[in-house]
Amino acid sequence: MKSSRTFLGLAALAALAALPLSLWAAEPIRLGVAGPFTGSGAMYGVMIRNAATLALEEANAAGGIGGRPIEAEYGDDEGKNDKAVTVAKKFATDQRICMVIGHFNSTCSLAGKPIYRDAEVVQFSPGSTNIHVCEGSDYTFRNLYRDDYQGAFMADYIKKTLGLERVAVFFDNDDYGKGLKDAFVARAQAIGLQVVTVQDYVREKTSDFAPLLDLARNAQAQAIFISGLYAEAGTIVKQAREKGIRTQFLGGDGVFGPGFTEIGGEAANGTLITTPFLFGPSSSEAAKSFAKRFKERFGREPDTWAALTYDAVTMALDGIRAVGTDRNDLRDWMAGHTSREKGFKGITGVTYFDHNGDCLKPVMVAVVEGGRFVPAPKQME
Amino acid sequence: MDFFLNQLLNALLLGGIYALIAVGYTLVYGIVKLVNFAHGEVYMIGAFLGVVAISSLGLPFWAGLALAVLGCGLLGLLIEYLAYRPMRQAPRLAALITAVGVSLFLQNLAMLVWGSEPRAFPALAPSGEEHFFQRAILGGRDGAGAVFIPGKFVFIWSITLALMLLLDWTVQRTTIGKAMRACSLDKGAAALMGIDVNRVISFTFVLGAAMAAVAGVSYGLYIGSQIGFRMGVYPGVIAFSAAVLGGIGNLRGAFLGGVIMGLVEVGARAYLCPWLEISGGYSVAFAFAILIGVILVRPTGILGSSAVDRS
Amino acid sequence: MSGWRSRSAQFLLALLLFLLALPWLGPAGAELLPATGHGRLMEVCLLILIYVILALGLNVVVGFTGLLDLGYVAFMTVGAYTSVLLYRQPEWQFTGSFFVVAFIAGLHCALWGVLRGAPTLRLTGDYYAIVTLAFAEIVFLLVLNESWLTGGPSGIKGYPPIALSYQEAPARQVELRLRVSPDPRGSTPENPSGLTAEPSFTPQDLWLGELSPDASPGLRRRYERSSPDSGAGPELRFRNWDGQMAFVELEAQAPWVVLGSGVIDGESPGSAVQIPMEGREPGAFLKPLIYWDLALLSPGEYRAEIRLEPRFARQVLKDGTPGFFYLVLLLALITLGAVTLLHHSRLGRAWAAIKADPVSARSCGIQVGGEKMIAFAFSGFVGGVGGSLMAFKFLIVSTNIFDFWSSIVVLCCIVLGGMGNIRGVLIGALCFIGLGELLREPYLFAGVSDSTRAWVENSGGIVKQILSVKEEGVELNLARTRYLFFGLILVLFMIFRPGGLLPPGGRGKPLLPELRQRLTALAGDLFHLRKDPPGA
Repeated sequence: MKSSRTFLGLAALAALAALPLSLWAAEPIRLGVAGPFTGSGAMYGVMIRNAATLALEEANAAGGIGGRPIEAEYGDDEGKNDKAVTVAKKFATDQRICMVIGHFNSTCSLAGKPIYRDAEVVQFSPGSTNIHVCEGSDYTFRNLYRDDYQGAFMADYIKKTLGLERVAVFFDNDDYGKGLKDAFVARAQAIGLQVVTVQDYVREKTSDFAPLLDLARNAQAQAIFISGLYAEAGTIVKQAREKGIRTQFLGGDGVFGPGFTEIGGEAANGTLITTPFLFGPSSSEAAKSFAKRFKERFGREPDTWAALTYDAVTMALDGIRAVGTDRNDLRDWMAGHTSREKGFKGITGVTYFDHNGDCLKPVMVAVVEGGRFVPAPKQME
Repeated sequence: MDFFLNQLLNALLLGGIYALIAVGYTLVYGIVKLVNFAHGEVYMIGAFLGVVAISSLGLPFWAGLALAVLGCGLLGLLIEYLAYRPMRQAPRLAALITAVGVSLFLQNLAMLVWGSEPRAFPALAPSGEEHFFQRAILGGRDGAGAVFIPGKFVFIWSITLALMLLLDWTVQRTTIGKAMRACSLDKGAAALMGIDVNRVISFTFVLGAAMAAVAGVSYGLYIGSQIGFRMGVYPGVIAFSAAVLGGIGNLRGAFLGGVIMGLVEVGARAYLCPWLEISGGYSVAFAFAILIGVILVRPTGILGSSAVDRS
Repeated sequence: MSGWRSRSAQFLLALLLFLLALPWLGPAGAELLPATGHGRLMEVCLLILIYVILALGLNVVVGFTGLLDLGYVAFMTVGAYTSVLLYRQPEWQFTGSFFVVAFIAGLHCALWGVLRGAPTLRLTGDYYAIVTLAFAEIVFLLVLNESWLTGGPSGIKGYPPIALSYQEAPARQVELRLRVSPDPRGSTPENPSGLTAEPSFTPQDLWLGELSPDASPGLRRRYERSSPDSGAGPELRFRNWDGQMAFVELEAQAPWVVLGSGVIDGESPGSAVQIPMEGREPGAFLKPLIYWDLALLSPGEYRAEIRLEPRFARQVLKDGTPGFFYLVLLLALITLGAVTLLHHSRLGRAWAAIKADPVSARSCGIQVGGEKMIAFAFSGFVGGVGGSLMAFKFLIVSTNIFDFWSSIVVLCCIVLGGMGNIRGVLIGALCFIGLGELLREPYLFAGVSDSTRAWVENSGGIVKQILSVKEEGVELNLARTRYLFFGLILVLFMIFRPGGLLPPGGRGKPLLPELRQRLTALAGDLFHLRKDPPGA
């Protein structure tokens, strides 16, 4: 009867209201973290994941944000742009995710960009350096330099700091490798550094680099610049050494990572690599402390990508503390860091953005010594 | 000149590896008229077994190689027994699809067991020292002007040649070889002559798989890394093309085809692609183009003599 | 046309009605299948439909004619890239243009199907299989390396989705004033005219289109707070507020005004040019390239009118909208109808004869070569159309999407259904893709003990690939084992059920006794217990 129905309705409402408030308050805050957790770039994924885990654990140990714990949702894009699209769609449609840290590979960030933009969620990359990543979207940001800067730096470094005249380039035929190669070659031509040969390879498909190495040797290259990722770079240096090729090897930041030393072994020693950040004696206290905590927690030393991811996550957490979890509010907060003074001070330096969302951080040069990455003796000012 | 010699050595090395794999394809096709699509995966598993034996189990190189050969031989046996034998009376198409299924299965099994990240071939000598394989047999160690032949090249080529000769001798001179040739001509007649056809077929598969295992370990030794679950795909297709090029079913043809494919691939990468100013990645495309050309002009291959199905 | 009143036919009809209603089921649909959200169900059905189209196409060659095609992905790739490259040109964006573009892509692929198959007409199926494989690899390499055409490894993204119609919006005018004076540096190699020009635009900023009432909060916010780009002096900027803008046509009457599309060099002076709007977000500044030919000018003041005519896309069909779903459903039904008609025609019988025994077929007067070519052309056409659909579903085309495994997946659908059997192909695609998507979903085992968690954390190898520890428990994710199961399915089906899930002549031998029989034979072989002569 009507009265019993009303009674039932009221009882239901009462039951609902009687649910403890803590049930609602404990709803965790979610960050999306996208990266190559499997595939040939899995080493990057390990570092990213660990750094994110550490940052979140520290934040949760301090009580979370407003009493709510923070959780990460990991999306594996395998370093491929079609998988990146799937991950992006998943994150974009999940309204509980307030911000996405990722992607790592430039090709993945580029693929996900339109999806994040349409869904109006911030995409904050700690590793994508292709020049177009932040263009055309108000929602894409990154906390490291662009490849036009890195490529030009590399060319200047080879010519001016190392004093070499002839260089060969091996590049990975994807957005990152090609973009970096283009920037390098353009600058090299402008400053009179001779690029004796340019050879491309396909990540995960090309494995026999002997013909390329012989081409470089035949062209009398004094240095070989590898514009690609660590797996192929490790193979290249290893094969080179076994062919008796002793030229100076240089790598872009994609080569930076423990995977390079693991695969390259002894042949990796002596390789010079550009990187947005490097742990070393002159790092800040915060960086040193982070390295120590990272090593204690995971039993291995952090690399550049761990540091950048940590900064990205802690910056995101700062934003959530400041403006809450609304996606557009977070976007405006990020865009508000317009100058050095207003920038976010993290362990990798000060992060602030131009109108595109690009960040300008200096390039440092590392050298591989005894299987570790240390600052190179000759840095460029 | 040195450039040419160095690239020639690269080509021969690659060609030798292709030849070893191609032999497996051609032997199997000759006897059961089936393209064993899973052969590329046997090669891949051979490489993995070698890597695992040397790095995880700490075995010396020879033991690793032996383990790989044994493991792959067993694998070849299993594949034939479980997947191909039930399909012997089935239409060609069904058997081919089964082969594709086995290939898919093995690839992903390897991915699950050993992970998706490519591995490096382990160091063979204690750190700092130089293993025989890395020592220069000929040539200096500096930049241009040196032809460099490391010990591993000598090793890979000697073992390839030795195996080829052994195989050729087996097929031509031994009883089992005669049985193999008989089965490839007419299985029914061979059975009537008292040959245990099943056993011969199994033996053929094991032989092919063993060769593939040697190829896999050689590859790991030569390249040094990029040992991943997908490494058998390209070499598998190229090696099969080599077998067709040389005349499918013909052992010497497979060897010849393999070497030619290696020469074409490296030659294209070193000379043709830079000359045409196209990407080096096309070197593989040239190898395929040659395959298609051969099929058009001479389907039986260079050394092939068996008549092709007229339909 | 037997069998269309049978149980399976009724099942398919029910399925069709379900599909027609699917986009409107809304939250109710989510409750029917609580494990998947509503949007996900539609997405899976969409994917199944696309694979149905592809499988029907491949079935013509594999199922009807009995030739193994391992390189079907080549058609998908070529079809996808062809349709994208055509569609993103403004000239190809007119009402109903998608159908024309998809048709052309299909024809392109049909051509390649014929060219690819021609060398193998007189050879066995093995040669055909290898040629298809080699062809697919060559296509892959071409797509990867010819970046000027295909975007190389990064592919092509940001192209407009399918729009069924376009609508003109009111034209806008901009006035350009140019003050030309002699350059203090005189005539230089870069500037032979020796002049310099100072432009000013009125208005300096234009807003094309209006903010639609259902704009998202973020867009509304940016609309309200928008202000000109800082820096950079007088230049023309216009802003697109309607997210569906297709392109803008620019025109200037003065012969000395040079217009460009912003990314390439300028056209000849005074011409009209279209700026395609792909990838331009709502609210973005758009900067057309407008400059002036100083060779035609001398010091003084100049004035020109520049006209902008924007055109907006309407009825956009994107992944997730009911419109796109119905489009794919429609194409699937058309393909189904075509294939069924072919199957029951003289052509279909010719193909069946070729599959059974090509030599006999030829002696019956069937033009084996010609019929094969028609099969190649048809399957190529359908592959091309399927590829186009995929391109417009993902809105990105790259070599990663179209890899070797895509061909295998399509092949598996056919195998599961029993090759040649149309209804079987439908069921096969449904089960196979459904299985694939089901395997993608992680399954959570809640409330596991700590020791189990520790075991998972510390084990490596296979366990680590499929299990992971989460807050709430242990999660099983079989997504990466999908292809393992696919391979196993292929092998098992070929051995035990070559007729597929629904063979035309009934089920065939019951499964369990057959399994037992095989296992006994296996044991017998292993221990040499069999009495029959081995082999042959």
